[in-house]
Amino acid sequence: MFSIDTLSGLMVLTTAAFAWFYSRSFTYYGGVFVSWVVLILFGLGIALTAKGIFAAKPMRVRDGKFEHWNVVGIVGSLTLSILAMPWVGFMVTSIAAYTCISLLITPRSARTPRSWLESLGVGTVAVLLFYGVFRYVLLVPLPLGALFS
Amino acid sequence: MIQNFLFAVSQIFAPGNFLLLVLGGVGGIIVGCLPGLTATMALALLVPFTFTMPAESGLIMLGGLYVGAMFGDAIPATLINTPGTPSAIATTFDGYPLAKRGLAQHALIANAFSSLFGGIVGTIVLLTISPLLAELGLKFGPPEYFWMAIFGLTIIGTLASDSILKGLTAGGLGLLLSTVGISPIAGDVRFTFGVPSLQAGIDLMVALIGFFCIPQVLEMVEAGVKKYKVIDYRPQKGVVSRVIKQLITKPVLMIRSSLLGVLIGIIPGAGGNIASLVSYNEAVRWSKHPEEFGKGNIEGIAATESANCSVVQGSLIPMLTLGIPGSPAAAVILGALLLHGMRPGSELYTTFGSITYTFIISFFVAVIVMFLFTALGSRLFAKMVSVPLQHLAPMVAFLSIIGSFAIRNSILDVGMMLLFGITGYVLHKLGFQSGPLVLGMIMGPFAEQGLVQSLLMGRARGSVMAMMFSRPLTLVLVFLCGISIAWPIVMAWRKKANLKSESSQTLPQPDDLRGQ
Amino acid sequence: MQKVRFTAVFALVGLLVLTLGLGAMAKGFPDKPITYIIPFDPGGQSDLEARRQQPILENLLGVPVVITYKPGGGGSVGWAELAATKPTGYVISGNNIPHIILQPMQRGNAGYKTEDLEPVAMFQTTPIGLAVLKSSPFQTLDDLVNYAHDNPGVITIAGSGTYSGHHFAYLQLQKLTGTSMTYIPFTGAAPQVTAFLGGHTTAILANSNDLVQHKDRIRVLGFGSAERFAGLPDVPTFKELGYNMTPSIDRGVCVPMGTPADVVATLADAFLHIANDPKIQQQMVEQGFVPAALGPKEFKDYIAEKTIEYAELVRELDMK
Repeated sequence: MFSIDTLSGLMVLTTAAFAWFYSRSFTYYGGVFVSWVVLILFGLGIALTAKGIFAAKPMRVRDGKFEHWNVVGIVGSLTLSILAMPWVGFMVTSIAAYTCISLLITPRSARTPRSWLESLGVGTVAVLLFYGVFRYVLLVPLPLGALFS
Repeated sequence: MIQNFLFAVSQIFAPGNFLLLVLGGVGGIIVGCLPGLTATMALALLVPFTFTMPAESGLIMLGGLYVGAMFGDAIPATLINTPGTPSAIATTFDGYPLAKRGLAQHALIANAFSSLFGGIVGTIVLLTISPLLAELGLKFGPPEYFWMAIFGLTIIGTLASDSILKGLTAGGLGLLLSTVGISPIAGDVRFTFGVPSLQAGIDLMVALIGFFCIPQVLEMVEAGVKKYKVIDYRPQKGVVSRVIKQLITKPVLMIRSSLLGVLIGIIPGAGGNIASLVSYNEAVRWSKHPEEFGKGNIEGIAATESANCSVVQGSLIPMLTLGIPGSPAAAVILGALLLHGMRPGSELYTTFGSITYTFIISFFVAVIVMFLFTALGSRLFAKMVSVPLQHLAPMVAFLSIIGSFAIRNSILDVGMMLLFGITGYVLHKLGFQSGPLVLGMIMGPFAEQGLVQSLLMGRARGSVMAMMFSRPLTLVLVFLCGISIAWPIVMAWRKKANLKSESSQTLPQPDDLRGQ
Repeated sequence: MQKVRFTAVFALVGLLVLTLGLGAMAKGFPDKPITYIIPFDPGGQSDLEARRQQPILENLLGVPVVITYKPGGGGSVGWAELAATKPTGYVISGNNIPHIILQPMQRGNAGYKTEDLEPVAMFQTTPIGLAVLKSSPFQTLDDLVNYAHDNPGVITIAGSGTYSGHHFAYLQLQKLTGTSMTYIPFTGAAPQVTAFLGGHTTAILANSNDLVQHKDRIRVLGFGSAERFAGLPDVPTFKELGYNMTPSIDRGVCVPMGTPADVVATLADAFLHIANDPKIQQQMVEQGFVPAALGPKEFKDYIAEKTIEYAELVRELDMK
């Protein structure tokens, strides 16, 4: 298996190659800085890869228990809420995302109807409060949602 | 002058004006607290209300707001590891570790006192030698901006505590990210992948929220609640006086940081974000215990926050004397001045002397009032970290969404914020840190513009090399870059030598709070 | 008791809202808040102008006017956003010439086309002038042009932005004088003016308000207005000097294409009412702006005229 440094090095090299490929069409003054940065990234990427190969440290993602599904769940619920925001509006998606995340973190043993209600309640109050402040005091036009307007 | 001074004091303490100052300041603290809301935005919102007021009242309120925001931005940086404005990036390095140890209040008091100190030093400079400094600021041309950016990038040496190679790589990635959008010089459309909104480039605040908040939430969560120790807040007696005493015994640190803030504030474009990072870097460099920074050293907070607050007055120096705003926020205040028919320059100090001095002197009062607010409120704020994780994590996620939306009122920005968040999380796993990456994003535009403008100017005058290396101020900056790069190497070498000679000596154990 | 009073207040407020709503409905446009997009950062000149208009607009139109910022891409992000909204007149945006002409021309896809933006009214012009420092050896524009003839490319001119009003003023000046100079773009007025005042460039092409603001330290050699400007009475125009160019940055407002004509007319009336106010005009001149007051039709014609002028310059630039 790759060492963590080799993996990072290869990722950096890929990024640099991609940026170089994309920057070929730039004019001289628009591209000179990008070229320098890409060059430096190539150098660093090679150094990282080499370091990984010659001074390999075993890949270790994390010590101890790692709640993969919590992380996936939170990323998923945030993604969904952002995707849905233009349609159902800021308030609904935010309350939903808040409740979801709050529930996901609550340990399985502690997930009772009461904790559900608590998550939902605190989420609603917090979202409404911030919504009010941002929309009416600070005049930030938070999306209402295409379905409602 | 004396007359103006007395008039100013009588104006500031007139009940109406004093109320406006407090209102502006409290508004500023709130805006500063909320990531995504900037002082500039709040100032612009306030400008129409100041039309109807007398010029001095309006200016007092605007000044109070500007100062308040600089006090407020350290609060989320300390409590949830998320800078309220880009200026507070460096506050997270030591503020959050302190909060994790239950010493949030110490961090907040250090913030309040250093901001007060920076504000007072800044105001004294603004009041006394501003015309002189403004002329110095004009000497800063494209090559100087370039070298300043390179100097800024050398901070990576300090920020990357684990692996310098990864620190440099993260910085390089940040530089690359900063080139997204319309090229500032040639007008090329770069890395937008056909999305017109990306022509605006990546907003620094969107990236900040993404790289700081979201990995924070995910890392809180991945361990699972049972294992995760909720940050608890331990109330202690006499914190205020103890922290202040500790900081007062470091006059060099405090004064150096404040002056750095003023100087960097004068340079148009370079603001609190650069000043606070540079000041943090210097604090680490000159400290006898550099290894304690980043683990919860209140000197780190002091360096950051005093610089960040004195930037306010620094950015007003070229604005009042030359009409060149040193920061976007100063540009808004300049607009307000112009709408009241006041033109920057010598007129401000003669014809409109009474108003101008009222404005400047009101900063003394504003910083003291804001200090009282944040110091007294620190216990209250500090308790916020004891919120159970079930609510803290969704709250931070929710604030990230609302904050990244508020910057440009764009849902695309919210999406990008999340994307950066996930990227940041993966990068953390691979051993990269957010600090150097964001630093690259901040310095990128300065480096690029400085470089390309110098190229253009150098070619017009016959020699690019002469342009980059032969001007007196560039030589100073090149020298500083050299020192900054060499310093960590020298220190490492000396440490090695020391260890060899005293191999039996154990490393000093950092106690709970250094020097407490 | 408390509850009763609360209910009563609630009912009263409800009634009030209802009557206001009905009254507004009978009145037609506008009956709800208007969003005024500023496609630039807060604190810029477009923002300050909008802030000056905001209270008067609210008075004239009888609804709140909410200013929001959509900065980025030199304004293109805001205009792309406006172009995508429903053409009801409830979302309007600052309209800057030549930005809205040049961006779609140069970038291929700027996110909007010039025609997507329906001009409503133009209220302000900032002619572009060429200036040197007081200490400069160039006393007149001719001095500078002669020097540029003998030393091609040596004179550096600070401007703001690429493919911007300043950049094209520079191209026009080169073309009309038959010289070659070097244009150094900066990202805004503040860095541009700093670099110039610090002596890092030979000359500057700057907006009239910046020239007026720094008039004690600089010498303006030529000015982009059609006639002499009241704020700088001693400065000759480019036309007087024999160069037929009137470069300027113009500010107005626009709505999405397809907005009903009567809505455009209502908005235009309000903006022109402000633009024709002598007190506001006086303020503008003091700050270095040239007040203007063009209605929808005249504004459209003006844009068409400028489009032809710029299209020609862009063609020449591309041929190089």
